[in-house]
Amino acid sequence: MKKISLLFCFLLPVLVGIAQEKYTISGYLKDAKNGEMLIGATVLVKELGTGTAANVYGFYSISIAKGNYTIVLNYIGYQPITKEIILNENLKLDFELSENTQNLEEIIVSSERSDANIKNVEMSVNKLDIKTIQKIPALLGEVDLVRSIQLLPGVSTVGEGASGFNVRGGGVDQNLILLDEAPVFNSSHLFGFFSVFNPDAVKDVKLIKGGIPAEYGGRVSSILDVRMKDGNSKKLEVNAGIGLIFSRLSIEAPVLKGKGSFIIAGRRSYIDVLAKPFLKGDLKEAKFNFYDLTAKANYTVNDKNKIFLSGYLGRDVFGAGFKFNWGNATGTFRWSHVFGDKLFLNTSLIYSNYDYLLAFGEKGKDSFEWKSKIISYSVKPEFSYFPNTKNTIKFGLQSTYYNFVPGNAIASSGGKTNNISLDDKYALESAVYVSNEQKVGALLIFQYGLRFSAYQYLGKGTEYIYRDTIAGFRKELASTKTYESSEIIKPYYNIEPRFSVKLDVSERSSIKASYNRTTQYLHLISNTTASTPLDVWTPSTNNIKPQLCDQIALGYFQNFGKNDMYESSVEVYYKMLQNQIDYINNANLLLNEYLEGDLLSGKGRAYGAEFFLRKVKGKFNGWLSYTLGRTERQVNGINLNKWFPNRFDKLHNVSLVANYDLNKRLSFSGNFVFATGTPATFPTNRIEIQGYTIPHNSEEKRNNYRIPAYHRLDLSATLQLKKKEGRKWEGFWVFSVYNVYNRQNPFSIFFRQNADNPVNTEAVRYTIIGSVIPAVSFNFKF
Amino acid sequence: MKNNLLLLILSVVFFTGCEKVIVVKLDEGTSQLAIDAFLNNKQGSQKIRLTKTSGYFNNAPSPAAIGASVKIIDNEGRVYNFTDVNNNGDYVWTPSPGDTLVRYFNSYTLSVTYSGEEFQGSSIAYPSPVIDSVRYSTKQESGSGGSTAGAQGYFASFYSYDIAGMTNFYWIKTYKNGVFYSNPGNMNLSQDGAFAGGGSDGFLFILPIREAITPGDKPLVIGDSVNVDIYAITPETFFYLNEVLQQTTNGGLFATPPANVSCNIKNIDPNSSTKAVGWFNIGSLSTNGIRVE
Repeated sequence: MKKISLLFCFLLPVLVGIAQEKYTISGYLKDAKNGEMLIGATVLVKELGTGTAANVYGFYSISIAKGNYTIVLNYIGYQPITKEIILNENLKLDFELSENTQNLEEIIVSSERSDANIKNVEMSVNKLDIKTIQKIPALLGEVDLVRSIQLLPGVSTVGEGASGFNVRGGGVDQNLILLDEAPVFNSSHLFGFFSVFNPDAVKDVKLIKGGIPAEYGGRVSSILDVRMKDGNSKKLEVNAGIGLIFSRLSIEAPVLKGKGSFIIAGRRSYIDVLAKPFLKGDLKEAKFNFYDLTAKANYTVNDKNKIFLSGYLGRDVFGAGFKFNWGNATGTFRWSHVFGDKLFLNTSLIYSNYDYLLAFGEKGKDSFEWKSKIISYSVKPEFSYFPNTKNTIKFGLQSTYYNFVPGNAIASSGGKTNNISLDDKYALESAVYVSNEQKVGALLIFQYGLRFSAYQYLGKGTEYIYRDTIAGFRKELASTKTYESSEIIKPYYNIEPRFSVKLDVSERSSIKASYNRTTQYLHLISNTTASTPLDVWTPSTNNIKPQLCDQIALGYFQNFGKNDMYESSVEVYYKMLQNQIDYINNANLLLNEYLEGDLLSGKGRAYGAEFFLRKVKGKFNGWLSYTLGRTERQVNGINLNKWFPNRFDKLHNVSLVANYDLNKRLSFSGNFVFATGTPATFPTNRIEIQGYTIPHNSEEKRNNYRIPAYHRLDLSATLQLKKKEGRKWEGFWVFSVYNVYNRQNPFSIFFRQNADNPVNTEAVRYTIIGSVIPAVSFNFKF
Repeated sequence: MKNNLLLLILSVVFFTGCEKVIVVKLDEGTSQLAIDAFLNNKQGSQKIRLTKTSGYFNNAPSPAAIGASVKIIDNEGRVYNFTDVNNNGDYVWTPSPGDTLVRYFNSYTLSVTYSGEEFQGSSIAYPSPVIDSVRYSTKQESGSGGSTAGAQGYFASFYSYDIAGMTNFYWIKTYKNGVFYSNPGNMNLSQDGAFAGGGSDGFLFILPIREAITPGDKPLVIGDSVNVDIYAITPETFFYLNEVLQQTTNGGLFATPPANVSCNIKNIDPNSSTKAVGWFNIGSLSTNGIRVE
């Protein structure tokens, strides 16, 4: 706590400010066409050469001395607004910016201010707007957010079809995925082929890989902050798409005389319907589909108060004699309030739930039914304070209550029933934070903050105490202790400093550096190559310590070309991780009351360099990204206690994304990816026991080989329909080809006995997508 | 078993993916003594097989380990000497008529001396339940278990109740026309008649286990005979066989990190660098069968 008080002392002079007569201009910046808030739009005071940017809620505030000024409002791809003002009182000014009616030479793909990558203090951050994502050739023609993110520097995946993504050598469970501030516990549909985010409902995507600001916490590797559209507040808008695998529909419209608006967007897949004629026997009744519904509504109470309600509901359904389904449900209620002109408060109440069900047989007779879920409830008041043009202060509180249901399972046979359920678990995770973004002179910006997190593993529950054993073997239970409801079983407290600095080297280049510590109290229990929908989230307990990560990063950012046509950056990072969960050989992770006896704890490290070159303007645009990185861990009990590469380690990772707009109607896109093969453990010997040939590694090595490299090329073409007089709707076709040169990329190599001749053993290359996949989709809007 | 079954469902239903046998060059590790000692109460010779581990792709039976001295001693002092009569690595003990190796709940110590090193392992003999019947039907009942293959033919099931009043572990072994189903994917293990976890004491073996004696894609045809053994195993053997199953069927999207399976036969000199691999289990075996007509 001492450190926090210190920080407040440090901030105090900033808060008091200078005793000069100052007034504040504040308000919201919106899109003139649909009323969407423009996140990151800038306000420049010409005479002072200084300015500010709208926050994630579209709100800005700037305090300057009395006087006459010219202010310029800017948002890339939009026509700037210039306004003369006489400042002798506090002003409330909302602005609506109109999109440029572009000619092709001027096409701009990023919605950022053109030099934002240099001028902002934030580093290790990638933003993708939905227009960019829509241009990337997609699997089965379906635009996907998570798959697009995997083309950015520092981001990779263990393989095609694996759910989630790895950021700078972190695990898939180390990314905090937020959909309108609600945590999403499983971001995948169809295992990992599609993500849960409906592109029609997404406004803005931001991935933070390093220099993580103090307002974010709870995961150690990265933050994926997905913001939903508010809904068109000017007129009814309908977007729809028909594809090979699923169809989408979204409706947005103003309500309550323009004081509010809503968006509702849905998708449903119909693979099972299409596949039906080709299936035989029992499989005729097979179900495999997914659907999701994303909705948001907002209402402006008055110029000081706005309220928002957003939610997501999605489910994957499988069945063929058995039932298997899983899905997320989230809900966010948000209230934003402006105190005076300089203090902005956003309060969110958040609900998130992930659950799955697996069942077969006739209930009560010969059956098995298994349910598991994680539910979280959060409250999050967040203040933004704009004391003067030099400082932007954020402070707030976050508190989340978790209810874990690791497994409710009932088996019955011959009329007898057996309940093998595990007890629920509970935890409370809270944090207070404060941070300041401070401009010093014209060239330097600091962002410094502190987050104090407190975690309690709560009753009602049982504390399991295990005996020590040789690392790598199952720990034996020594004793247990039960706790009543709300009793604290085990608390943890952590101080997480966050720091970033930016220094302009020239008009068009800057250097940035950052350090951050992050803590993670929830862990996804999974030792499979790709995480499965059955993986269970578990809280930190007396046996499972919170994960900690320290990361330092250093970057150089340079723009060049006419009008900053090219952006480039080089970043290096080094990460140290503590209390990484691993598993004893042949651990039993599901429905195991004594799971903690099968867990190991180790250290991790990841380091690398990321090179990024992006052409943001012109008919021909796109980016090239190259990551050179290592990710390793050391766990007593694995690999003879020596460091070994993580399963998703890839030394080289290259992505090339290119778009070419031939004319106003036709554009082409392509992307190429190349990555080093992931490590794998191969046997050295065979053991013959009872007719089985068991692979054996006499050196007890982990990840001693590598599977061949991954590379793939995808292409697509987008054709806009001719505009016709009097026709109210517009549409476009997307033709795409995935895996153009039919590469059989190995996902893994495994070993088995030959089915027909069990004495013979063989190595098997396993490919998830082993063919060219062409697709077509039609999209329209009115 | 439970985990594997579920993951199997996951992978089979949607992602059979695309598999191709390829050539991989592997380093060969140190050759070790492998002890395969699964013994039961049946008449006729009981066999312990000793081999030397060979390179993983050495596609021939592993070389025999000959010249070892092999014996089992029970906690009542009975000594059973196993001898390699044919010098082929099969160390055999044959009971005299009416005698048996297995006395329920006795503990047994296996001792193998090979190349001057002695290895020891132990096991307790558990009972196995009677198999009331083995039956077959032309088609699987709908809504049953995870076997969703569309193959047509005859499918067999066995009926038996777990021994009540104690925790039991079983390995259900199936022979079609006298040939053991040695495909690891068909390994059928049970705790108290259910998969695992306990609480099912005295259960009728649950449906997915009853049905698992016929591989879903290889139904029986008229004239086939099916024999089912329920072999009593120790809790440690149950985990060991689960490891074997895991490590021999570890492919696909949801593979776990490959790991060596356990071994319960250790060098009595803890400082020796020579280690053996393998497993020792002794237990009762019940059997029943049927012929499809």
